[in-house]
Amino acid sequence: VRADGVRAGDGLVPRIEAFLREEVLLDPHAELTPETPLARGLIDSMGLLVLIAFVEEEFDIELDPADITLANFATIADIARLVETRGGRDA
Amino acid sequence: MPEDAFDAIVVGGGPAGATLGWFLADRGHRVLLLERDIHPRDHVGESLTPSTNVVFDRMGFLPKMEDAGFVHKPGACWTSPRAPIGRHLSLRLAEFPPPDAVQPYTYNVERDTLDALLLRHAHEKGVTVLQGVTVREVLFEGGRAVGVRARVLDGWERVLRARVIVDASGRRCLLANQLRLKRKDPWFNQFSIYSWFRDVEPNPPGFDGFLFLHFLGLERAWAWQIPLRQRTWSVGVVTERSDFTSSGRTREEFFSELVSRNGNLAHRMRKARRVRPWRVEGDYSYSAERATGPGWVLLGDALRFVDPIFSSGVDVAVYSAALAADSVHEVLAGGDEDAAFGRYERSVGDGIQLWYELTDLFYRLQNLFTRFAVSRRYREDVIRILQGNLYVPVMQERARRMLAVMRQAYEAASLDPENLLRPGALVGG
Repeated sequence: VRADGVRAGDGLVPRIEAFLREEVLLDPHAELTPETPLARGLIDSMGLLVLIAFVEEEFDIELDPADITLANFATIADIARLVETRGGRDA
Repeated sequence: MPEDAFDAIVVGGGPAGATLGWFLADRGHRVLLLERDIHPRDHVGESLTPSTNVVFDRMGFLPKMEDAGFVHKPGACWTSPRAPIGRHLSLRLAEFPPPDAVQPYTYNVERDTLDALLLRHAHEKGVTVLQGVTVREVLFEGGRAVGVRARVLDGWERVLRARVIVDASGRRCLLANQLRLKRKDPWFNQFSIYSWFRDVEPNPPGFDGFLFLHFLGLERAWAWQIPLRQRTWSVGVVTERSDFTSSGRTREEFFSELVSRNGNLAHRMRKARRVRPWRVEGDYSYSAERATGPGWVLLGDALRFVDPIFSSGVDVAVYSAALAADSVHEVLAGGDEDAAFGRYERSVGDGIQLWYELTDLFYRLQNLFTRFAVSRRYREDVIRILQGNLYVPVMQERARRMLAVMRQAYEAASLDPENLLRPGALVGG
């Protein structure tokens, strides 16, 4: 949390959400909040892999196969946390 | 002409036999090629790798491919079962042009046409081509292959002799069966049902000629959709044989059911008309224990067959032919046979083994290829491997590195029940 009270990761959420809507969601009009569980039918495994590639590129981090877990990718907020933990660019 | 007037007898006039014949004739050898069928004849395997062009270019054959008007294939697209209509991933082969690339695309081919053109090309080079001649067996003297017993359609038989016998008999595996060298792979029991169709919805703009691979939400199944000439499409499904036999369904029902599992494929096939009978191919994986022996060499499918997911069939055929031609030439020129055949055995054996290992990983975890194909770090490796020619050290090292990384990912996914690479980890695949 910075001095002005904004959480550092908050800027990530809209970027991840926009990408999810454009390229990944099985139903592009599905309701989606930072806390919506993605694994319950919102995305398929090919979409997840596209999302991972986006996250790696967009935030300049590298993820190992062992990072591709439900805990890290359950929601947009979880993904944002993962990017922050890994010191992703702009995070 | 005396019976032993030939330096080499080639059994089989598919791409492997025709290519080997061409290269030997080009070096001045007298080659007799015996083909059981009369070309043109049908064959599965309509998608080529870019590396095939390199061999065809050496043979001066590419102008004939262009004259035939085969559909240019710039790359491949793939779709997931539940993706919205129109969504796909893709890779373009020319994103990373192969070192010897002569053009930024390869081809989708009707194999009856391609194989007949290639056989004629060999004939024009000086290969003596006899069609409608079935080789009954390879003849041995003192453990060495010295000739064949051949039978013409009407039953007339004759013994023909040559210094080297090349088995390019395809999945008939003439010599591997005769010498009991053929081993079936217990792990793969895939088979496919396919046909040709018209009124299939064309590829999206910008993707003309791309092969589409559709995932079906089943761990060991997939479908191909290949654009051919005259708005005709080859569409086929590959699955476990037991899934078909236990389903109690007709070919048509089984095919339709698998097609309906992928929204994009079903959408594009909704108005499709089948324009030829169903074809079924089984026997998806086997290998001969050895590729060579005294006086004999095995090529292409007669040596080993690997599931066609990576379009490796013609690649294996023409590279094994080109490499075998080097070794056979050396032997005919008086060189040491063990050394020459040993080199062939290693380069081709290792190359096909790599195709096999990649295929094996694909079937263990389909997600792996997508994971690495969309990753900026590995995309070049994936594309270069799919370009083919895994018979040279530089490509083999690349493929082995990629395999090691993929295996690590596979292990990680296998160990952790929470890993999302695992099949079925996400609801709905």
